Amino acid sequence: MAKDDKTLKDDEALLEAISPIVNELIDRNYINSKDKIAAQIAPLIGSAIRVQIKSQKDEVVDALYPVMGNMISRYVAKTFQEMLESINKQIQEGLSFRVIKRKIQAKIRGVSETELLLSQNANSNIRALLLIHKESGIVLAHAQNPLAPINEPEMLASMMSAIKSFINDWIEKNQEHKELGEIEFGGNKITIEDAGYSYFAIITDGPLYANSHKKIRKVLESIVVEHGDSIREFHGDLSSFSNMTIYKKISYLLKSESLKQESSKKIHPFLFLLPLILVFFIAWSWYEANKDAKLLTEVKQKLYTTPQITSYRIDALLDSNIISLRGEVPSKFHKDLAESKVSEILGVHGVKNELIIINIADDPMQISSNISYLLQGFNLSYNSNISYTYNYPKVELKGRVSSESSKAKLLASLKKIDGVKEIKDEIEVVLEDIKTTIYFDKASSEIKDSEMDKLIELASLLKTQESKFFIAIDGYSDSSGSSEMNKKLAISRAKEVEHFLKNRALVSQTLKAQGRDELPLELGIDKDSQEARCVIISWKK
Amino acid sequence: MFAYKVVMVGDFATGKTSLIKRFVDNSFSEEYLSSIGVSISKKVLGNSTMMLWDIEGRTEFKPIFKQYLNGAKGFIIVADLTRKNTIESIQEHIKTSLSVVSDAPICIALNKSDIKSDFSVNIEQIKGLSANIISVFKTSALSGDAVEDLFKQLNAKIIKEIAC
Repeated sequence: MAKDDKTLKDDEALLEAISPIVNELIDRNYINSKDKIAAQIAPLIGSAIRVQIKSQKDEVVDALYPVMGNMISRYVAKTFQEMLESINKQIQEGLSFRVIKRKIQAKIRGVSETELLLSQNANSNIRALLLIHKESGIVLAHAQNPLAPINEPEMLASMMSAIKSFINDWIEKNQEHKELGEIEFGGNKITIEDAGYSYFAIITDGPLYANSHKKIRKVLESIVVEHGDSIREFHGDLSSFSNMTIYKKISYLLKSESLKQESSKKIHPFLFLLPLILVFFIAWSWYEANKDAKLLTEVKQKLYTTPQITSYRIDALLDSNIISLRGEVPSKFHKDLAESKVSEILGVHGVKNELIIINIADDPMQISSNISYLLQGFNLSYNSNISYTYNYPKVELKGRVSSESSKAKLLASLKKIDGVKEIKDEIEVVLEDIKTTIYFDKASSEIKDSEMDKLIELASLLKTQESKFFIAIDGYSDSSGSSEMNKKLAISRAKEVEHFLKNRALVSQTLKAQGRDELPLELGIDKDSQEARCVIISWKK
Repeated sequence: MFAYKVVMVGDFATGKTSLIKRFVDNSFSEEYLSSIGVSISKKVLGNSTMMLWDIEGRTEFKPIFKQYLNGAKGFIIVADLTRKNTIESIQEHIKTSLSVVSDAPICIALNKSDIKSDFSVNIEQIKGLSANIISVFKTSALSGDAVEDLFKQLNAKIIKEIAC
C-alpha cells in the first residue's frame, strides 16, 4: 500500500517535471508541422462533425449559429433578389397570353395572382443533375429530364471537374477561398453546389430559379449526411451509389412536367401578333371583296350594254381578278366579243372564256328575248308603239307605224332573228297628219316670216315620210276684189309654197299645187275672213 | 459498375492524344488541351467506365498541372521511343504522379514503336523505376500495336484493386 502511494507520488512528480517540457514540445511541433497536423486532423474533423450532426443536430446548429447567421442573411438577401428579378421579368412581359392565363387561373383557384406568380417561380427548368465526386470527377449519381436529356454526363462531369480545378487553382493562387459557382453557355447554365467531397452540377435551360436552388441545397445536405462516408471513401466502385435512395432524391428535383410546363409557357412571339394579323386580314378581305364587287358590277354592265350580246344570259364570276364567263351564245363571234369587251376593263387581269356556243334557234325564251330587244330599239327610233305576242313558233305584231318602209324594215329585221319562222303582221301604216295652213297678207302671195317656221317644221316631218306619196298644196283667197284677181292670188300663193318646199326644203314627195276658186270651207271661216287668204298643205287623196 | 479516372502523363509530343484516339469511344475536342490543358475521353470496358484525362505534355517551360492528377486510379506515362530525353523524363513523371496518388498503378507506354530508333531502351530498367509499374509496352498509335493491351491491362489491375 505504502509502495503504491510512493509510486503515485513519483508519477505525480514526474508529470509535474515533464509537463512544461511536453507542452513546449507540442507547441514547437505544432509550429514546425502545422500543415502535417492539419492534414492528419482534417478528415477526423469532417467525420466528427457529421457524427455530431447525425446525433445532435440542434447543438451543432447552435454552435454554428454565429457563423451561419451571416451566411443565412446573405442567402436570404440573394434569394429575395432572385425572386424580385423573376417577378420583375414577369411584370415586364406585360399583357401576354401567359399573364391572361394566370389571371384566369387565379380566379378559378381562388388565390391571389401574387401567390400564383410565386408558385410559378418554383417550377424548375432543370435538364440534368449530376452528383460528382470532387477529386476524380466521376459521376456518382445522376438524373436527367427525359424531355431534354444531355449527352455523355460522365464526360461532362469530368470536364466540369477539370474546369473547376483549373479555375479554383487560379483563385487559390490569389489567396481567396472561393469556389466556382456557375458556368453559362448560350441559354444554358451549369450551377455548381459544393459539398465536402462531392458537388452537384445542375444543368438548366436559363437561370436556376431560387426555389429550385433551395430544394437542391436541401437534397445535397441530406445526401451528404446519409452517404458522406461512402462519398469520401469512393474508389471507383459505383455499386454503393446504385441504391435507389440517392437516385430518388435527385429525381425528386427533376419533375419532368416542370420542364414541359416551362416550355409550354414559352409562347411564340407570332401569337402576340395574331390579333393584329387577324384585323389586317379582315380589313384586307373586306377591301378585296368590295373591290371585287365593284369590278364585277362593271363587267356585268359592259356585257349588258354591248348590243350584240345584251340579250344573252352571260354570267360573270370573279376570282383573283380573273373573270370567268359562263353561259350560252349563238356563235363564236358573240363569244369572242364578250371576251374582248371584258378584257378592256381596267382591273381585269384575265378572262376565262367558258361560254358555250349552241344553236339557240329553238329556245323560245331566247327568241322572245331577241324580239323584245329588237322592238325596244325600233319603237325608240321610229317613235312607234309596236307590241308583240310570241306563241312559238309564231310572232304576232300589233301597233302602228307611220310608213310602209319602216314597217318593212321591222319585218326584215325580225326575220333575221334565228328561230323566228312565222310572223303575223297586224301593223297598220298610218300616215302622219301633215295638214298645215299658211296664212298670207291681203293681196299678197309672199310667205311671211311668221309662217316660215311652220313650213320648216312641215319640211322636217315630210323628210321622215315616204317619197311615193303626193302632197296637195291648195291656195285660197278671200272673196273681196275681182274673181280673176282672187284666182291668180290663190294659184300664186300655192306655187310660192310649192317652190319653197321643192327648191328650198327639198322634200322628196310629189307636190301638186293648185289655186282653188272657193273658200276653204273645211276651216269653217266666213267669207270675208282674212283667214281665207291661205294655203292648205295635206296628203293628196 | 466501376467508374474511375486515368491520367495520361508525359512530355510534350510523345503521342498521348494519338494513343487515346486509337482507343476511345468518345472524346472532347482537342482544342480543350490548348485552352485549359486537358481533354477528356471515355472508354467503356465491360462493366467499367474509364475516364481518360489527356493532359498537356510537359515542356521545358511548363510543368504538369498537378491538380489534374487528383483522384486518378491509374496513370499511363507516355514516352517517345525516338526521343531519348522523353524516356529519361519517365522517372520524374512517376515521382510527380505518385506524389499526388501514392498507391496508383502505372503503365509505361513507349510510343512510336513503328519508327526506327537510333538508340536502345532497357525495358527491365524502366520497369524497375517503381514498384507501382505494372507493365511497360512498346506501342504504336499508327499501327495500333499494344494499344488495346496497354489500356486493358491497366483496367484489369484497377478493377482488381477497387474490388478488393
